[in-house]
Amino acid sequence: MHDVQDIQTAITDEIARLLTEDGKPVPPIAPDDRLIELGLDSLSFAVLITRLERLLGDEPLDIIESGAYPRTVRELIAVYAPGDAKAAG
Amino acid sequence: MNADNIRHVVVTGTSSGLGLALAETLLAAGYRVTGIARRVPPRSLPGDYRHIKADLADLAGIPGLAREVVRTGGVPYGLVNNAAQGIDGLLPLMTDRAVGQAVEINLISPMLLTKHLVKHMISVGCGRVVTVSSIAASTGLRGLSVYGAAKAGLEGFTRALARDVGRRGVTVNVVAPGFLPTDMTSQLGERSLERIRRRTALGRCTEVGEVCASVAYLLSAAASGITGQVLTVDAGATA
Repeated sequence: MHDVQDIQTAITDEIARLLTEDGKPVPPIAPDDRLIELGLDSLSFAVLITRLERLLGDEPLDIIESGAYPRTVRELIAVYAPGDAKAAG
Repeated sequence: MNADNIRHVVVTGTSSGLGLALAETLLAAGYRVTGIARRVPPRSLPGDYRHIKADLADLAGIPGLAREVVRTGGVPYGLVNNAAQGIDGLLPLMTDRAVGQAVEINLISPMLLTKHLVKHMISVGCGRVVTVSSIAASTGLRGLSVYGAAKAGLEGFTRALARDVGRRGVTVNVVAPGFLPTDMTSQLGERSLERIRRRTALGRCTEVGEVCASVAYLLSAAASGITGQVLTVDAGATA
């Protein structure tokens, strides 16, 4: 079990790493930022959730099978810390 | 990525026929191999071979199977989708259920296993997917309408997936064998096999070793510039 701050850090670190790998600028990342506007395309998003699965363990909610894609950083945090994400910020 | 990952290749259908020969070829080439099949291979394989007993027709079990592959062997460098069921029959005489099952085992199952393993490959930035198709995908062979449809599906899948994941260092290709002297094709009957042999440029069946060498090539560093392609190895059956 990870606390919500660890989860948020893991997610923002991975987003920054992915953008760097893609040769894109890394903006400051805030919880209400939309993933697509940060520069993450669908391939990068697939890599992001796979890396998070390896870092944080299987997500409580299967993002792909649920069909409810998180659109913002906060929604992605909520997948791993249901109920706690409102605290993130 | 670490050296262990570079050498780990997953091969489906390793209990007999082409899959068993593929496992042996890749072990001899120095890969660590995880084999997946319902039954264990009939002989112990030399080298670093790990077997996972699983029924690939159980589509609901594939996500868990992929997790077990990664947990026990690490992120695979390669996936060889070889397992298949050679179902032949005249379409009007096949049960609806048999049609569905032939598509599930020969098309849906390898697509799902690829889905659940390729995500790890793109996340480490390197990988190879090689899927064994058949010349039945590109040429009409009697009695193989559904099987041919499934194999043609795999070829379309390969071309598009190659474009989707190429940017993350993963290649996706097909090897399309002609008829091989394995258990699967023995079910086709001697008359069909003789007809097939007559039609080839070389007047013979494809050898299993020839197909294994092509798969090994597509996994090798020499093939790193090849993706989205079908390599036909058929003794000239479709020449």
